[in-house]
Amino acid sequence: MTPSELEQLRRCYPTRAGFAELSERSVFGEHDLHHTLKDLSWFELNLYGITGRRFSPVQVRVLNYVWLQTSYADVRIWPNRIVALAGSARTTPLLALVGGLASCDAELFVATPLVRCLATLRRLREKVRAGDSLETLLQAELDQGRTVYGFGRPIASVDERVPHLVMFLRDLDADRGECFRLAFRIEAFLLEAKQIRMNIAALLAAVCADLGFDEVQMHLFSSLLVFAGMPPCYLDAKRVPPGGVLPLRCDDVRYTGVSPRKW
Amino acid sequence: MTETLETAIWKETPSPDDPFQASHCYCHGYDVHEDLLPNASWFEVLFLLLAGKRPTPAEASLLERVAIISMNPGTRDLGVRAAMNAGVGRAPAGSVLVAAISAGAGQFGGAREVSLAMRLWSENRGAASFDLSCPAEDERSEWPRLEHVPGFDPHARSASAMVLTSIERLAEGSDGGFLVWLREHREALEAVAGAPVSMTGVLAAAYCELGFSAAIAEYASLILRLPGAAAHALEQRELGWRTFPFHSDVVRPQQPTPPQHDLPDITAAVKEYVGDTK
Repeated sequence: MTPSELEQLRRCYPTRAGFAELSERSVFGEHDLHHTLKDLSWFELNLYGITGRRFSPVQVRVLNYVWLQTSYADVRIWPNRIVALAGSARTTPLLALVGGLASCDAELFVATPLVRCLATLRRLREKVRAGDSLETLLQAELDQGRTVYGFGRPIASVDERVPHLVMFLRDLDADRGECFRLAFRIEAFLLEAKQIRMNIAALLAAVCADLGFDEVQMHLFSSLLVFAGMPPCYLDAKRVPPGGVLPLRCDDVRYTGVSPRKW
Repeated sequence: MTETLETAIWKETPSPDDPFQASHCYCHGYDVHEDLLPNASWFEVLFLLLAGKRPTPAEASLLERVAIISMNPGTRDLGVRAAMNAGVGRAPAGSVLVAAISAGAGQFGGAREVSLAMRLWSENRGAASFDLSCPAEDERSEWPRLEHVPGFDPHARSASAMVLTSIERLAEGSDGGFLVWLREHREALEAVAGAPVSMTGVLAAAYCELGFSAAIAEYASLILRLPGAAAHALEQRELGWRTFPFHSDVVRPQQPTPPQHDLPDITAAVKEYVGDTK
């Protein structure tokens, strides 16, 4: 950006987010928060803020279930454990939750797998639409040594969230999405070629891709994906004395470095 | 923009041809790149930035020694463990340090405890008898109710060797200040608290001696504990999740658990999806 372009933005910042006229009203996107949007659930408002779109009741139920079924209240799960450790350190509830949420930007869980899965599925969907063979595309990915994001679970290991999500969608007649079905075709190919199954990330990303999410929207939507499991872990930590969450003795840490020496 | 942002700490003068580019930065009046960079140490500049004045050599040295103690609270520290949890999941560096701060900010072993202990040291130094009752509860406070006396370790039976060594080493340059007071009155304070002095208490005395306010010390504590969080998070990222404890045999539900259902059988559905376009 040139100095003159910066100067223009210094003088006038164009926003599409909304506009709060304090003491008068609050515009959220293109609507009056206190009038047009007042009957939305908070979840629907968040979806509108992320996508700029309104979703049907069935779509909202599906997306709500995406959040619900991934919120495990188990202190051992990494983001939850951060919240519990922060609770054990007697920090504030919000600071504890922020620590857990920040970790959700991880490569191994929540945000990154979902965004990468969504990008892969969208890319493959476009090529299949253009007439390419899915099997040929997948074989090319494998030949290049590339990872097919969302697929890598050992064949003997079932992600219990997958069958539950499938049945939830079937009950709502919401299992007809292009990426949703594409995900199972990819899994069938990879089961035969590499004996690997899909992870839940592939299916969640497929659902969101079918509802028109792009990568940034996926990232924003995934930010609170596992959130509901966190407050119980903070409260759990408060039920034991400070420092009482999964305490470690010195000999619980296996040191593999150099022996003690002088500076 | 018609408003201005006010600061007495930092001045930037613009380049002649670009008002958005700084040509010189001044920290409390000192040119950062032409004066501080060649002439000052990191801890002198850190002291200057936080406290607003140039430290004496003894103050800079004390801050540096506080930083050595603080730099790595250890693999069992709650903030470092939070950082390792984020690191092993391959979270970005910023997320790792947010997690470290989240748990390292607390009032048990964290930065908040440092500031609370400073208050106790300030109130009790010079007093005829010690009163270590916790600061009055503030019903508006976002912080949890205090469950131990700040600056003391409620789980230990005696002060650890490294705590005692730290008091001795830090007090070496002390001119009868808070560190000497803590060294001389430690046992009496511990008798009143019913617990031994912790490293948090030692650091609190050092910050008092530096003349830092509790608010400044809380920030300094957070900043200075981050190197350990970074190093251990990086290490766990490299070691990978397979070697990271899951505590699978430790966590046990305390409430009755609901009956277990079989997983839905989706075999037919999957066949339908796979054959959908064939």
